[in-house]
Amino acid sequence: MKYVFAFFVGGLILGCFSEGDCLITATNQLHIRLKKRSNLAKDTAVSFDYIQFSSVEHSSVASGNVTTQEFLVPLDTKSDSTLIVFKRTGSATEDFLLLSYLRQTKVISKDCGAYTYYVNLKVLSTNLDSTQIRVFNTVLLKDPTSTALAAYALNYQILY
Amino acid sequence: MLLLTYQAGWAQEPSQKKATQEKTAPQKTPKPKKDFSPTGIRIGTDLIDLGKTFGGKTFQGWEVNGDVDFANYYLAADIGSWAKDLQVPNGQYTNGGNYFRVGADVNILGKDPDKNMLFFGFRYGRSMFHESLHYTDTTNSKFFGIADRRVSNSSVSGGWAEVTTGLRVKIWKGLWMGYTARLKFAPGTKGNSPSLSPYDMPGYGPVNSKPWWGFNYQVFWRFNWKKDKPLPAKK
Repeated sequence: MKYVFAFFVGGLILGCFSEGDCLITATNQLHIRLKKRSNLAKDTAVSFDYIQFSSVEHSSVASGNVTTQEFLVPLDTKSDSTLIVFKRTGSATEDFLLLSYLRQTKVISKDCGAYTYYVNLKVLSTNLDSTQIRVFNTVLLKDPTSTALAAYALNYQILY
Repeated sequence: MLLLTYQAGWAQEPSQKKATQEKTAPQKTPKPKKDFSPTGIRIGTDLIDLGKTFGGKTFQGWEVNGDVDFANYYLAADIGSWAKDLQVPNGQYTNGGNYFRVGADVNILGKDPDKNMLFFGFRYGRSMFHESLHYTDTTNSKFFGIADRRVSNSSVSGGWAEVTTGLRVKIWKGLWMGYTARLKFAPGTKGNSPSLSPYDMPGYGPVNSKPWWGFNYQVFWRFNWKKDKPLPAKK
């Protein structure tokens, strides 16, 4: 019995020295969900001619001609701000969100390496009404065990 | 008359009892008072730190430990320095800084004639350090390419607490050897740049590991300034 106890205590102590698995929750993907303005309980599918993101150095199209209830937009890994532009099908004007954030580096462990976390997310400028944007999470995070869209923490809801 | 006789008898009873007790109870010797005045100072160093410094390329450091006795209580203090140069899978991390710890130990072998110690104690530690990281950020390189990032903290300070246990054994004259095991907890840092979360705090270790363990294998020299009182002989 005493050997079982010693084995258990030994295992417990060794466990404290173990680095564990590299489960990385860092991502640069911003998660936006679209909701009905008249009924917040309901998601709404919106058709876009394009969803674009750009910064000082880059300008890229995340997706074009898409009908969706939620989408991911990558934030610029080399800048502290990203402009997201989305043009709804049938709308004469574009909507935009100029976002600022802090890129915070964390060394997870000697074996896992260093990763950039996007924190302190703020809307610097937008043409949307302030009641149209609901903030859920100011940190970009993902569940490392899944690649599904639901694995990314919801950052904003936009009400149409 | 009868009443007087009774009163006299009643008055004598307790003194008679006392006399009987004195005859039967063993005579108690007064406990010798503990002498709390310190008898010497023990100064030592950590051999593991020295071994890692001379035997490897990723760590450079030293630690000096000292304690002063107050009967079976000890006031303990450590100062040290460490610098690490670590290869991480996607970059290089370096740090360096100084630290100190202060605390107290209690020797549970209080009656050992050589003052050998099996002790338990606590420490409070403070650290002042700098760190820098050069790494490749591969997050979503599809749109933005691979980002090469350099981040640093030029002056960070931090603190933590420890519970300790260990042994100190007299080897020869003033030469002592022993070890200290440390359970470190409640690390906190301030003064870092928002772009780099502190990783390795000298004296503590990885800041995001709570609790963390430490182990020192130490050699000491004890400088006595007063002879310890001999223990009372056992009857």
